[in-house]
Amino acid sequence: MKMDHYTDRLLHLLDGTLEPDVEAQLRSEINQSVELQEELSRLQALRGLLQDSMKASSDSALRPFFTDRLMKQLEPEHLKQIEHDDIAFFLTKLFRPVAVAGFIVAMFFAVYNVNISGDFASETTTAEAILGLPPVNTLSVYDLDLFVEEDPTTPSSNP
Amino acid sequence: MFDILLNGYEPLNPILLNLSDSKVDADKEYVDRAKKGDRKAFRVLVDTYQQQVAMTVVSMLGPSAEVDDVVQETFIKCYQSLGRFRGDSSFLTYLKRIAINKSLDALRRRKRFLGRFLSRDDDNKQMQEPVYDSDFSYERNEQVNLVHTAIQELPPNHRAVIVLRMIEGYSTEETAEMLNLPYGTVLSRLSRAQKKLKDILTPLMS
Repeated sequence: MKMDHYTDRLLHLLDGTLEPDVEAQLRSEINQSVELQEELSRLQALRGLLQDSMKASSDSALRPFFTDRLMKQLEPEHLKQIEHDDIAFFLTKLFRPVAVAGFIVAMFFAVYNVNISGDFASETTTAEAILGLPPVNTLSVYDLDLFVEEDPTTPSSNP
Repeated sequence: MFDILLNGYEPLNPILLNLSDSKVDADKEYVDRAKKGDRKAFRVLVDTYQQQVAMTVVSMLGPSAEVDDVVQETFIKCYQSLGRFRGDSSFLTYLKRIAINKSLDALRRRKRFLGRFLSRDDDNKQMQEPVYDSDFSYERNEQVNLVHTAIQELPPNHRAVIVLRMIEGYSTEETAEMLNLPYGTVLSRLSRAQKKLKDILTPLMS
């Protein structure tokens, strides 16, 4: 028996897409032929095996967030630009109060420093006054303890 | 007597059989909205069909890192050419046709790559990554790997016929139309491919 001619009809039988009269004729042929019964069985097993294996592989074939990644790629360029602008606007909005608060604190300290700088008798520059730095002049350098007295008990390196 | 064989046999084409009229109508509505630029509607279609497209691509390419890229290419191509979709076939059939073409492109790219970097003795099986799913037993993983290896043994054109006719469950006429092939060519490729698969997979089928 030339099985090639039957393969497609057997597949149609498995699909349930044969015309009723064709199906009835094929069923009677199958009933009379062990070879056809074996072929149908093999075909069914092969198809089941293929579909089962492909289904198992396809379940983990796509990486996570497939739809999100795809939709991102489909976004027009001008929409992506708008999104970037949105982020910049959000960051500006978020940091504006911090910047304003920082400026007010800095101004407060500057005014405070200028006010107390009048208490020092020594000469103070405007920058030192605003930054609250201690006054430094030639005389005040001598007040700094920069020189270390040598210990007389320690032997000198130069004889 | 042969009815025993068909007892308990569920038609192996859930994809096609699930396409009830209401489903087709819903698809049509989403497709129409997507054509008008409604991206949310297209997103629904992507969510609905990504697994089915992935199954087609995995069948063609075997399990590999390329699958995700090819499925993305399929949907991008679909989105770009949505205006040309007239609705003569179902949306899923339209997607599958694109997926098969994109997979064949990927196989050609793979062949060029192998020709450039590997010796002629190596074949494209080397691109296939073995399946290992911890949810399955060792035997099951081995079975899946063997089936993929058997399919990769087929020439790409024969593989496309097997995928559409045997795995996806499209009729021979639909397969011929989707691949732009004469009916007789599909039948002969189907017959030869089946014979080869049966030779390799007979131990698993018993």
